[in-house]
Amino acid sequence: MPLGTRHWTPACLRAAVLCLVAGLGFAAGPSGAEAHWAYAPLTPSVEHRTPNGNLSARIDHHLREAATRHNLRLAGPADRTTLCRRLHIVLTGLPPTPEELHAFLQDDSPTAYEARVDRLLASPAFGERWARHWLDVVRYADSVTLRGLVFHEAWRYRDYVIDTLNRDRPVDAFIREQVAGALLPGGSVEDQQRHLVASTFWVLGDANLEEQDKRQLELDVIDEQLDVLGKAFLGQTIACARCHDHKFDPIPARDYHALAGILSGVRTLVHENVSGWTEIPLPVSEAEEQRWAEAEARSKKAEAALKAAKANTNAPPSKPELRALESRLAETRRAARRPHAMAPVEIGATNLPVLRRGNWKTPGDVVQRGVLTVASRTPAPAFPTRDSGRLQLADWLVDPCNPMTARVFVNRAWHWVFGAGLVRSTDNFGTTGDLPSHPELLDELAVAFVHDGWSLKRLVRSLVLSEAFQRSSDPIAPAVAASLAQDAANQWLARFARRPIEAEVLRDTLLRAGGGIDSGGMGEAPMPATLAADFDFHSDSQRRSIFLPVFRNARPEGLSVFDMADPSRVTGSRERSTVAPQALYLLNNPFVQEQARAAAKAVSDAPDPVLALWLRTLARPPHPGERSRAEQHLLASESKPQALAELAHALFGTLDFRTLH
Amino acid sequence: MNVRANSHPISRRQALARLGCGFGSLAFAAMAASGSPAGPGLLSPRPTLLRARAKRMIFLFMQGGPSQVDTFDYKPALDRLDGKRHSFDDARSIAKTGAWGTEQRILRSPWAFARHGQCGQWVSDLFPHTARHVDRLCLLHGMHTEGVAHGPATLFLHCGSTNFVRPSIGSWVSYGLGTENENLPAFVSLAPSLGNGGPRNWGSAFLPPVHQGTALGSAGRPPADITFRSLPSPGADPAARQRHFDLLRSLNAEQARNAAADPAVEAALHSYELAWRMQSHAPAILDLSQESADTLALYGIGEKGTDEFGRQCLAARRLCESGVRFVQVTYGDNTANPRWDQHSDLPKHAIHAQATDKPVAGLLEDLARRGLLDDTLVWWGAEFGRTPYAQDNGTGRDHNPGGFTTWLAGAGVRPGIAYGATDELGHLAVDGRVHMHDLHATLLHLLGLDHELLTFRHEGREHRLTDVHGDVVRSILA
Repeated sequence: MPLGTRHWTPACLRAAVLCLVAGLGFAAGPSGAEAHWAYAPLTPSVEHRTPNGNLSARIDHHLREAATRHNLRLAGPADRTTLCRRLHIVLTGLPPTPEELHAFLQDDSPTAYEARVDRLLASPAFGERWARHWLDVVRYADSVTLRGLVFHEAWRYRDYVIDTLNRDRPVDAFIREQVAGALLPGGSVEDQQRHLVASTFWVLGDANLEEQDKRQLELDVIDEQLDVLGKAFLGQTIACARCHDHKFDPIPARDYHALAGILSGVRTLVHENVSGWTEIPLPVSEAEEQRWAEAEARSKKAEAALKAAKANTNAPPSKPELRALESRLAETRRAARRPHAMAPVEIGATNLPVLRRGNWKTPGDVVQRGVLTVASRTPAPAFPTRDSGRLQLADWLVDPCNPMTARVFVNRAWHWVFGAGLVRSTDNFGTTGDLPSHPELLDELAVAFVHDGWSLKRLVRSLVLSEAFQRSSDPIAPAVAASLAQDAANQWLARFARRPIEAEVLRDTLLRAGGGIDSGGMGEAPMPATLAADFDFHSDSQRRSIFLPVFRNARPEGLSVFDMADPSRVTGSRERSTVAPQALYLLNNPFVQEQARAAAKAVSDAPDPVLALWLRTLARPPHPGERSRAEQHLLASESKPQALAELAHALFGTLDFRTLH
Repeated sequence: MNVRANSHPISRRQALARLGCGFGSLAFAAMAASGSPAGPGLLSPRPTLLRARAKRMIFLFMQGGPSQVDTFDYKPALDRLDGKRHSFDDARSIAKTGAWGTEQRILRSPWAFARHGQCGQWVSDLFPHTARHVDRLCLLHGMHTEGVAHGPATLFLHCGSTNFVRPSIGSWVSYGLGTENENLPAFVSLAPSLGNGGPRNWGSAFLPPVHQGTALGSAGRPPADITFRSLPSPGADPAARQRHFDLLRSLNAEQARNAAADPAVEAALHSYELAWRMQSHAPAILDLSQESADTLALYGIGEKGTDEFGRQCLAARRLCESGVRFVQVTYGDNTANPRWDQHSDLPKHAIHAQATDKPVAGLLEDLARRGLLDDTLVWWGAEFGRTPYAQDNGTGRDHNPGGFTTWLAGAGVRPGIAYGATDELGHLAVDGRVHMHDLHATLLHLLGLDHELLTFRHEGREHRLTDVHGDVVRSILA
């Protein structure tokens, strides 16, 4: 959607006119932002939901109705080649291989598409793709901007997200784990580990650790945490209420401080001149505990050996001997370093005073811990006196009576599938955000989602099985052209809206085309274990992009020019820019050129190298015009390998390579 | 669920704000209308609401915090009271422990001061070259800011906030003015430091990414690194490049055949044409070999000590001439104690003064000779100043956000004046106080931008560089 026109969507215009009317004093009817749609209960409620059958069909029912109301004719289905690439990219972040495409096109059974959907949802690549979406929302990074200090344990959280999505563990549990962490009841060692790692969520902020007023720093960190909590789960800009009652939304400063009270009961900072962050040793099984104890004993022994050698004045060790002992010590120490989670530490129950104008030096009345009053349909949770109350906060977030969390989440999923949410402002459901284009559909999705046990895979399955997802985006189709002309922003989904592929998809596709992409990548990020600062960090790793460290001071050029999410801010909807540095990157970057040479080499022996190259890069055969241009290029060249590489390089720069159709 | 816009009474101002009728959104709507969706339209030059005194700006960032009482803010009382203990409201002590009025040892400046120029302003021996241009300078002795450590204060200097992720001033200028040369970005940061906020200091935060500063090189890297990224390698065969580009262009034309009406397609095609022109155009701008020996000497290029910063200052002039709106030149590094950060061994200030003095003076002279000083604003300054007392009774000075000196020169500012003052000991700004928000407001004003109207709607409200603060310092306007 073109930036700058977003203020003038019909919904916004309506809101604007109403605001003006209100401002001029002509308001009638009930007043108060409490009546805002986002705080209203889900309708029908989860308990009173009548089974409406197939959710995909319900989606199409709602969309058809709205499109008809707006005099839009629905586009027909996309061709199967286009659909295959679309589906693969949306679900796994990679286009189909030539073999996968071939198999799909050969399968003419009526369930071929559904079967492909299920296969992709079950593949590990689904979690690798969809975890990246969530990491955008929670401002995931492997370092802080200040001094480039490296988070060596953050990758565990990334892996936790991938694993959770791949196993399709319920999203309400996913939310509870991130918020409540170790306060969740124990269970197995694996459960305990998972809970701790999940709560890394709180510690990932880009804090200004050098702030000298440490109380101020703590409150700034809490503010950032509330900002993320509010936007990520509730679509609310809670942080606006730090210094005063929210100007637009019904969030009083008391609510802010009630929530801040919960977070002041946990510690994520370790104070020094430049503060650090908390890390907690992961609980381990008894068998493992013994292994760690042995490793620690070995390290102690190595330490003693070195000490003894140094103290031996009778037969002082030679330099090589000393070095060997030292390296032995370093090695055993590394081996004895227990795994840690970058998790917050419980302090205990705390209530904060309202801090006037956000200043801790001007405290007002103490506020009891609590949640957002506007969205509380049930009595406020009772907060325990033994701990911070994060568990009660987590339970309130996913309580079926809280309409916001499910709505915000299903809207995110819609955004990630269709490229734009039913509520376009994915992180702002407040009165200053956009209105839902299809409010009944949004609620029906949210209700079904909760009813189906918060299963992301089932939700995504319903979305991609809808006709809406399978519609054509090709402007040659009259219905698509009409939709482009009448509804450029595609609010009414009469067509599938084209959009640029994301930075990670672009890089991964380049790597895949070159043939060098690593499968797997879970575990520590590809960086030296001793790396202290991220400055000028560069990696030649061929892992998928999600497995590269996200360094706030060293964002890879190939990702940053293509609008990767700013890892310091909540990003539910990425920017989509088309700027010259992207073109320069695709024209000249050595990495791109290298992939082009590799792709050319891989197809050089194929019976039809042009076809093979197109399938490998664009996941489709060449159009006649493309083919004749390609063949003309190959004929004119003296060196076939070079000409093929030039062709591959040019293909990487084409519109179709960069676009999801 | 019943969807309706809410209808509680709001003020007209709020209603207007919600309509997005701030200057920013008007400009933005105009931009979107004038160009392709996210393409060059966003950077098209735009008329300003106020009369623009300056068309462009160069920011000479003295990272780490030069000491005001050793450079431009002459305090004879320090000589008299050297070594005496005295109670000061030390910013770090207040922040750390809440202790006001801690006892500190006054430390005199090791450098002599003298009056210079027609205006007779004081400059210390640290800056003999700059001193010759003092009649061009507008010294602000009453600066104060927020953040007592480098991280917060550096972010505040650039983005007007110590902790929130906010657009840098250069991004705001790019957003407000666009670029004069569509082959170049509007905001360039030369050899920026990765420390103390790093990319956030030239980041566009919530502004469209096209307004992000383009970093050329980074602090501590050799001058050869100061170049645009992803340009063709010098060895690339021009014929092969042309062949590749023609091939790409024709394949894109094939693919765009059915999508010509799609503005996104048009924008993408345009971006390639622009990139093609940029890569032919950009390298020459940074090619200093086209300058005369005389000019190189003016900046101290080729001389030990001044070569590095001299090259950056000259590159800044060349970028300005080519139409870049905001050029930042950083004298800094990536360490936790950036170059000017003399917590101990204050005499090391001399090294940094020597490295920057001639290049800065050369830049002023060069700009003046070319008539560029008439419409170019030069801003020299740091994230904060230093204390007039010794840190921990040692040999250096600690950070001082409460009072320090910054200077402006060129378009729109009164030359040869000193505005504002610190107290008798040079510690806190007491007269003509200029908060960093005020300085930001003034800089934007000089560029023709009203800091209260240059807004961007984000997270449901209008944001500006100066938050809800900032007063234009009218007394220094020419």
